[in-house]
Amino acid sequence: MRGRRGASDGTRRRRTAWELWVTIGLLVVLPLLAATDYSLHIWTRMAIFLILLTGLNLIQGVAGMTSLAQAGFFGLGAYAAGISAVRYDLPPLVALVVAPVVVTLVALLVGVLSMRLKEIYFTMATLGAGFVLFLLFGRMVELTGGPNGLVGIPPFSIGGLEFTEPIMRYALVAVLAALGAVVAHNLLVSRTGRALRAYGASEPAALAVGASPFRLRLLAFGLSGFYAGVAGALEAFDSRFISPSTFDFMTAVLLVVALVVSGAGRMVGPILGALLLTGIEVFAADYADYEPLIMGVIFLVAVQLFPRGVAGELAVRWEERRERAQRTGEAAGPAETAETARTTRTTGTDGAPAMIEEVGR
Amino acid sequence: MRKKISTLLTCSVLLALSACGLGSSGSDTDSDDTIKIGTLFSVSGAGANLGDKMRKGAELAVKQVNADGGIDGKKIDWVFYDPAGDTSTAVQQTNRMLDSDGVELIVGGGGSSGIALAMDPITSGRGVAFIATEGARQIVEPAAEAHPLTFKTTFNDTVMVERLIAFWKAHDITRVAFMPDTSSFGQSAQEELERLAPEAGIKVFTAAFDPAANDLTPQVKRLAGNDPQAYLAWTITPAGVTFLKNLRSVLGDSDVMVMHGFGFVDDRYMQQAGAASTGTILVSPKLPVWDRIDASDPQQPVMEDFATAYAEEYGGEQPNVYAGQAYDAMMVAVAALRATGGDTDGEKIADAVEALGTHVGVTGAFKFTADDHSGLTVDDVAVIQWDGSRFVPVE
Amino acid sequence: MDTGLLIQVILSGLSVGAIYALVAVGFGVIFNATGAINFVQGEYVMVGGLSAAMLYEAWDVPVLVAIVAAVALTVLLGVLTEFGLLGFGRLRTPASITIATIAIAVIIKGAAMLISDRDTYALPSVLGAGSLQVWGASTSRQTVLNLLLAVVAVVALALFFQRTKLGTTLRAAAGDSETLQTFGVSYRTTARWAFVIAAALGAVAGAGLAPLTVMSFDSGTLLGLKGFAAAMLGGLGNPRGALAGGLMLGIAEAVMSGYGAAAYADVVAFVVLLAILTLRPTGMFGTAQAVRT
Repeated sequence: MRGRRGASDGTRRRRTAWELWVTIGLLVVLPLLAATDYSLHIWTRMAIFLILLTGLNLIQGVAGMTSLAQAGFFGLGAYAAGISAVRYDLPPLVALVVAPVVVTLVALLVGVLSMRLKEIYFTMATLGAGFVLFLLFGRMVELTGGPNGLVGIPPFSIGGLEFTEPIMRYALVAVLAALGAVVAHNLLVSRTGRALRAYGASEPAALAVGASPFRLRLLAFGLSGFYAGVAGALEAFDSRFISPSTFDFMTAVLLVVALVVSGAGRMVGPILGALLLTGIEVFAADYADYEPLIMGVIFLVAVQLFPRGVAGELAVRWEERRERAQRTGEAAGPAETAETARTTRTTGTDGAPAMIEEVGR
Repeated sequence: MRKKISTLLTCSVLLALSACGLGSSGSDTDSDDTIKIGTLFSVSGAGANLGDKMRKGAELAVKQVNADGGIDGKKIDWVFYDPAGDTSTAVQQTNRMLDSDGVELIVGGGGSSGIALAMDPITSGRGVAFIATEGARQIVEPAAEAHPLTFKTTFNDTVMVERLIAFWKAHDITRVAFMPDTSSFGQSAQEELERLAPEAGIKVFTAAFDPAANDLTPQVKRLAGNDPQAYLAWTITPAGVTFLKNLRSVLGDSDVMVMHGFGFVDDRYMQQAGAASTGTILVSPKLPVWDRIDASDPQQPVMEDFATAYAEEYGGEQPNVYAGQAYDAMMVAVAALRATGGDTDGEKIADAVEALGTHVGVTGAFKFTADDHSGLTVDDVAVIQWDGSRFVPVE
Repeated sequence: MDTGLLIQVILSGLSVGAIYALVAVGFGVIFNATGAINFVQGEYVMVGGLSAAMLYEAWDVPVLVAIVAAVALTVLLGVLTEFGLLGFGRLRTPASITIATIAIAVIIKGAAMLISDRDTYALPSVLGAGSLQVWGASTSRQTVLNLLLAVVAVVALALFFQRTKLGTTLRAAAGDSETLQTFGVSYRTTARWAFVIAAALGAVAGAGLAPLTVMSFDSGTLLGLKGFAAAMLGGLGNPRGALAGGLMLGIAEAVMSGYGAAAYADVVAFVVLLAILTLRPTGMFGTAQAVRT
């Protein structure tokens, strides 16, 4: 058993690395396929979603907790950056640093308050936090511009270099998105990451090895806030206008659903989720009156079809095929082991997908 | 199975690709026999009701123009999207219209001021003219310096508030209880009222409310403590019905003046408030009372034609002021396009709009100038009253 | 004048709070049966109120008949919700069910938008339009009816959970489907009953709310979230807690509207939600285990 565990760890690392390269590869290749101003704008949006989902993946996919605060944090990042630039005349580069710091602090505060709660209660606490932020964006008129939105955000610039061309705006967001993916990947294969994942599947397991689940979860939540802060600042400098409507409850839900459907806990989940979100947005625009109906149906079908997410489903099938191949090559004995292994995987299912196998063994 | 899933994966990526990449193939090659006009209204999400009315108004204008042979023989090719009240979706769709769909001129700013404010930098940045249908004056002010290519066919809140103040002065009203909702519509009015009323010697007591609120009696009772002579609500949401009902309930038969802003000029809302709405006074464009005003008013036949055509097109439905604003915006664009001979260059259209002189529309007699891109004045505002069955003018 | 305002604030709080309470009870019933948060709850309120008002206004049906038909329609929707969630046997954890309920809520709202053509509809109160004067304050007669409905619903549910066989199994289901299986009752059956009850409660709340304001396809979502905050405040899954939580939240909002910064009244519900989860996650009357051990 011990030998096998080591092997599986190795494959996991390879697989994660492969998934990371897919993410970065898509960021490079997509704009080459279609590089009109409009498609670059779409890819920029996609990359912003990618950053948001990479952050969400740390708490949803890895720690197995659903956060509905990501849209609120996204907005907080956008307003922190926008307000720094518009009301305090800070250079965009400084605003880009201020935003994630502010959001991380708020996320840590929310985390300290809610982190000891059971899954569903935690989710509802994050819903509350997200909603309070959303409402404050609309009410603190002096600071945020209120429901009319914050106007006059400058384009992003470093020194005298202004990022106004679509290709430069995309490059900025894509580079940060890729960087974010690399950081997330390194974190996942690190000791902390493994402890986090172990925790996500089973609390007693984490306690048994002496890890502090509270601190680990708080770390994951704080980091998810950091990512949301970066994404928010980029959104502010890209749209150059922000208003509360972008950061509402529906956005929070869409982010979670997109991640779950594409594969929470997988390195490749966020990029698939980001493509899905942008794809639906572009596709649904042609069906104005039926848009909400279509969105709802797509998500219900997707959640029912892929409770583990597309990527998670893919991985399970892949494992099964490998096991089948092994089974045909070996005697009847090991086949039993494969059977048990599959049961372990399927019982845990959707909350923390595909991570269960490691702890189960 | 794995194959199936990988196929699905590829498909979803391709979907995203084709949607934005391939969509651009037809762009910028604008054919000579059509003019592409793009429009955003939120026909889903909060405020969907108004968005739908605005869409109908704009659609009617497009149909009429095309049925008349178009603009110098060119038909309008109308592109419509629904941003569902979200500014970042609207930004995306505006980019799509301009970069991918080959839209040459934009009419209609999503149905909320926030969206129009978000669209303006994009259209201005591309040198495209934009005729908005939303209220906030920041959309077009300062016109000459910051918004040379952007216009709007709605009243500035300043104009509405000036009319209100004149009306109050004429009726010796000096203490007013004001209840705006917390949307951009209510907040913009609050800013203007609190700025202009003190200069006119009118005391305003304000208590805001959430557009989704189901009971406003605490606010009403609280304001009643200041002994106001008039109560004014400023909202476009059904909460305005609750305001009327609650006011009647709390104040009983006392004969204070009950008022609503121009966002609430809607037969349906009034009927739904039942007896509580009778006698409500509203500031409004003249459209709801088009058949009760002096026939010598040049606006009268325009409003009559519009109301008749609209009812004919949409199964007897009466147009509201939002449908009228959207219709006007489209017609201002058409008038400007006729003046430029179908040239859609942003600056030429802007010059043409400013040179229209007086454009008599459904909402008012627009007089656009280089410094005024809103075009409406106090003269275009009517004070009207719900008599229990319909709106009538107030002297 | 001051006592007038105080009484008015309390009356307003009770009026809105009764609706919150009915919504909160609905959340509790589903939570007990499935362990999930049912985000369709607010949409049941919308469907109940909107369809009753549409039947009344568009087809001229008597008010009571319209309400009964609306409740029946909403119950049907409840059964369909259960099927949409559990009918495929693929969603097993409360978290995944919760997410799927949001998708269903979006579908129902989208369909309601098209069916109602985005219009608002009004429903008169069965008690007539007059208002009640209480010590210098006033409220609609419907308020009394709504309070009564909320209390009756809570008492009936409490009796149902304690005295009937189905009720006992529903209560036993609270987060423990294995116990159920040993009793020979399937998880699906209890879940279906829970959705029937929750939908009916929602529809009653909607029919009670409609006379206070007007209904549109957009009337349910925020109300559902506030009702959820009320449920958390009282203790999720406890009917008496839901009643207390609903009324308290209603009064808290009214106090903010009457005495505080009125513009921030709708923030109250979510601050309360955060605060209660931080300070006493089981709610005031809750028994469920909310904190990790």
